[in-house]
Amino acid sequence: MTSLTRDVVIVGSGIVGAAVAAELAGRGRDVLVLESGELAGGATAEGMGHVLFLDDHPEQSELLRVSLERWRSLQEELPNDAEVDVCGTLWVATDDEELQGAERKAEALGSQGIECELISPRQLRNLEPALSSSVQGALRLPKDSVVYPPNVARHLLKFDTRGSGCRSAGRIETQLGVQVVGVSADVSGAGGGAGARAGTRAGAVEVRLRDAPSILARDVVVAAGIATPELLPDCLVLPRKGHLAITDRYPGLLHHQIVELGYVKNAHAGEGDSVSFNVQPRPTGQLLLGSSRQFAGRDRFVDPSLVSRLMKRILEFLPALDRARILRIWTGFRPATPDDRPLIGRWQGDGVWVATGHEGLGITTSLGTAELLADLMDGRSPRIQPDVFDPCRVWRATS
Amino acid sequence: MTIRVHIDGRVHEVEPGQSVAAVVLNAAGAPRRLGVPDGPGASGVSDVSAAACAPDGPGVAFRRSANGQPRGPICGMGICHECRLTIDDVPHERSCLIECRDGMNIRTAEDPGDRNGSMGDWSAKDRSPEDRSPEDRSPEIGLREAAGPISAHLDTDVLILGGGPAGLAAAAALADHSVETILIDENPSPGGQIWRRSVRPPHQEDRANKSIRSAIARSTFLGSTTVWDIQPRECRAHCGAWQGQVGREAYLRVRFRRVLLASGARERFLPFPGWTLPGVMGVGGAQALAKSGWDVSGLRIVVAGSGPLLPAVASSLRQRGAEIRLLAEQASRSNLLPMAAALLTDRTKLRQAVRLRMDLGGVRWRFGTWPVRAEGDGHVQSVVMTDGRSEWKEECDLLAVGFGLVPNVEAALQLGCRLSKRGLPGVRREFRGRGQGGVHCGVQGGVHDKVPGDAAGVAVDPWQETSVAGVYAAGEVTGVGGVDLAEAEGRIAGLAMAGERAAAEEHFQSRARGRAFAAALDEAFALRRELLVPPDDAVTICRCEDVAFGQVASHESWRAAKLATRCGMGSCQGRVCGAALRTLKGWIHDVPRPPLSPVPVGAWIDDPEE
Ligand SMILES: Cc1cc2nc3c(=O)[nH]c(=O)nc-3n(C[C@H](O)[C@H](O)[C@H](O)COP(=O)(O)OP(=O)(O)OC[C@H]3O[C@@H](n4cnc5c(N)ncnc54)[C@H](O)[C@@H]3O)c2cc1C
Ligand SMILES: Cc1cc2nc3c(=O)[nH]c(=O)nc-3n(C[C@H](O)[C@H](O)[C@H](O)COP(=O)(O)OP(=O)(O)OC[C@H]3O[C@@H](n4cnc5c(N)ncnc54)[C@H](O)[C@@H]3O)c2cc1C
Ligand code: FES
Repeated sequence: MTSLTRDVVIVGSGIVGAAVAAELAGRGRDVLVLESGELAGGATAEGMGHVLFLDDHPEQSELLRVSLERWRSLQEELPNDAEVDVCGTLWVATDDEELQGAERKAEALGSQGIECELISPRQLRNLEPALSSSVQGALRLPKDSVVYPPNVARHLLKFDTRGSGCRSAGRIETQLGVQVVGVSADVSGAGGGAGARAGTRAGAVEVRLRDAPSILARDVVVAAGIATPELLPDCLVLPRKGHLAITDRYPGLLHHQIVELGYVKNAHAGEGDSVSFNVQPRPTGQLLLGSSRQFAGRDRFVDPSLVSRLMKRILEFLPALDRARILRIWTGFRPATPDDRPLIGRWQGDGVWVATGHEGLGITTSLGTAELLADLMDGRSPRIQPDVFDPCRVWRATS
Repeated sequence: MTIRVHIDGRVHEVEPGQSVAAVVLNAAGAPRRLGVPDGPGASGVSDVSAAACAPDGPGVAFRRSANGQPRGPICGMGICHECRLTIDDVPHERSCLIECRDGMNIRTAEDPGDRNGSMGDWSAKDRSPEDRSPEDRSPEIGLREAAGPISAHLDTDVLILGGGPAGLAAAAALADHSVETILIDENPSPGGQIWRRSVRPPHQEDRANKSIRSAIARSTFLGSTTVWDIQPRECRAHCGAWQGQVGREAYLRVRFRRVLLASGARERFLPFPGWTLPGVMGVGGAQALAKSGWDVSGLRIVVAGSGPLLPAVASSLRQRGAEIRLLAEQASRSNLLPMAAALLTDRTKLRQAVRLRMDLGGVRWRFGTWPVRAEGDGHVQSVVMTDGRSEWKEECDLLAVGFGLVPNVEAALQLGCRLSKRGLPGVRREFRGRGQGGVHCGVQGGVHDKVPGDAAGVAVDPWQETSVAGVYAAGEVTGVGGVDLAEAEGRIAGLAMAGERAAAEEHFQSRARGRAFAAALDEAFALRRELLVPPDDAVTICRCEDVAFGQVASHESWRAAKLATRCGMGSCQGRVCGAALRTLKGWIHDVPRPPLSPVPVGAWIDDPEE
């Protein structure tokens, strides 16, 4: 058990693990992805897949910008089943306060070079006739898009179900049904000091598996979403539950992802349960209706009273949906952190890295995360300022 | 008395009580006069508009699939979602469950304005909102303005979910002991699959009428009502004909102390090339549509698949004027012998069997024979059959095909009830002679060491109570066994819920007889190995989402296949493809998410006024 058996092991095949795998493989590393469940079957399969620019987290704006730049080129190569649709986002305002908010937002975005336009109520009737006339106006970000995240992850991993992962196209191997039960740094005891670069460091990281021999790897990236604390106990990631509903097909009813401007306000207003209007037309003609936020453990129970509040909110904006049929409602868990910022970087000990905690924005920011983490692992100076994402802040805060 | 409906803009006179699906089939003259000038006078539907003489009737495509293929109803009972139409501007209505109403406006996929779900190629990759064609940007909403469905809260001691023989027998027993009961069924009238009301009955079914009368007279029956969410003390339901008025909608909440699940079974459909062609239907599906007013007279029909339903339906379709071209049972004659022996011990059953044989006099009846593929241009025109040695073609207008039944366990699963081993398909027998325990089915030629439990029912104790206290189950939902067993179980459940255990015990013997006969049927109609071989990769497995078998075959589980391919994500939520994949690949049941059946957004709102 002393020989290095792997270069990089990534725990988790969600969008974050997949993006990191693709980035590292692109830089010549040999990557093994271990997934305990289905490919990208965690939060990545439960969310909305809205790839969007948000200006409400100024400390994340670099991460977002880099991510969106990378999304634009990735989308060129994504296959049809990734369901890419550059539909744009409409942030809708229901009162003067929100309208002024939209104007401020437009300015702020403009100064950052993000394309956007203010939409008058009249234009809005034209763009989205199904919207309630109580909507006072909107801000449109035409470059935002939607994707189907599980198949994006599949593409990033170049995963082919016929083999146990396809080695030829990139150096990525993905193994499903493999549960990691522990990760320990520097097991050989001969690790290099802090700041040592991969390749020069002598130590190895042990990855312990359920029902299988351990693996020794030069580097291990934990991208296990809400399960991360099970592997790295001090790494505080909280499951933030959300409800989503999918309708039958109503092609042509909506054209943009439509979100209420109160969204960020609702979403991050304290610890209480909240609902916000957030509706997405899928390329299939279906509508994905969301969403709610609550800290309510890890029970997947669909809460009827929360769904009732959510649907009421949706009908305030889209009264025509009263008769639209819901096929299915499900719940998912956003990997949240106490300070609303993802955890990206080195964990305690050499060779152990973390990439998680992206809450409700992880599809979007996965690509920037991959670049940042790979830069750190390479010892290059990153384009994205790493300090605000340093994962050690959460155990420093708790210890 | 007749009423008038509009189908794709043309006026048709129909009889009250006919289902929308039935009148659309009639109006199309489908499938009989396909490609032949459509004349008026398909009985029961006389087209009063001049345009009716045009060679193209409304056609046979009820809807177009995700990829734009024409589709028509297959299950006739609200499971498959293939019969969806736009009715009074509301898209995606299950037309087999809805009765015609005067002035109703019905649109099929043949109507250019219909928005019933076809998306063509949905790669929208390169289209920004500006680039979309004017049709894409159509301001038409396609949804009816809120017509104000009422909200109602009901309260009862016992709720019975399902108004077939089991539910009715329980309702009558409960009424005998003055237990307050509400009986809910998705169909407009009580009777379930076997006793569903016939619009123009060839003969009266006395037993059915008696049972229905005795149950309904003394309990509350809510028809056209779909239970879409069920919890241990309360369910939510959507009623499409509140107080008997077709089209008057109600969102219901029913509180109860105890519940009886009597949700029955549905047909097992196995995919083969051509099974998505309109005109390929379930055996029970064809029967249900004929009973709800579809005129089958003069149709050339091949009835195929497996089980006692085949001759029963063939006989009933024949009495309605259809020509039964071939009756093909996949089980071999020798397999059926033990069952024939069991029949000899039951006089009633024997009499029924003899009568059926007489009704089917002159009909070509073959055992060890099954369909290989259906063919036709936009509609089934022939089916290639095989007996394992040779293949031949049968011309037909309708292929009615079903491979036995599987219990409707979704509500039970939502309540957390355990399933039983009873009701497993008797595939084992096929293999006994081969000296191997395994069944070849799927997993890349691998061998399951277990028989796939695709027909597992809800587990019950002697009083028909499930593993969840206060939740009872009776009838086919506990395992397929026929009407006598369903009634016996329903009676026992009803009496047990009324606290009359001694009286319930009196029916234990007939239940035991029923279960023994059911086991004999399972053995006799065991699916042959050839039918468990996965179909060609190109065959559609998920009808709702147009997913081919080859796309799902290499995935390791139902959920993995679903996440990667959309298989199971359609309107029926895997009721059809999931059941087929349970049989073919041994994939286990998904825990169903709410709703149990698609339901409008408005129905989720607790109290709209608040
Ligand atoms: C309702 C909802 C809506 C959302 N909407 C959006 C949106 O519109 N836009 C957006 O950008 N983001 C959205 N998100 C957020 C986004 O989905 C997540 O941030 C993102 O998917 C996180 O990806 P991940 O790879 O970190 O986690 P996951 O996808 O959860 O991946 C972690 C993987 O690790 C595996 N794993 C865990 N433990 C182990 C172990 N011990 N061994 C092996 N494998 C293990 C898990 O099985 C899982 O597959 C939404 C989330 C939710 C819940
Ligand atoms: C963009 C997008 C579009 C979508 N479109 C559709 C759509 O059109 N139609 C649709 O139906 N869905 C759609 N989905 C839904 C989606 O694929 C799944 O429903 C989602 O992954 C989560 O759903 P779920 O909670 O129902 O879990 P499921 O996918 O049902 O999976 C949960 C799994 O966990 C298992 N499980 C849960 N709890 C337990 C337990 N306690 N013990 C053992 N096993 C357990 C279940 O058996 C099941 O296999 C869409 C999702 C996305 C992201
Ligand atoms: S057949 Fe309906 S979801 Fe697959």
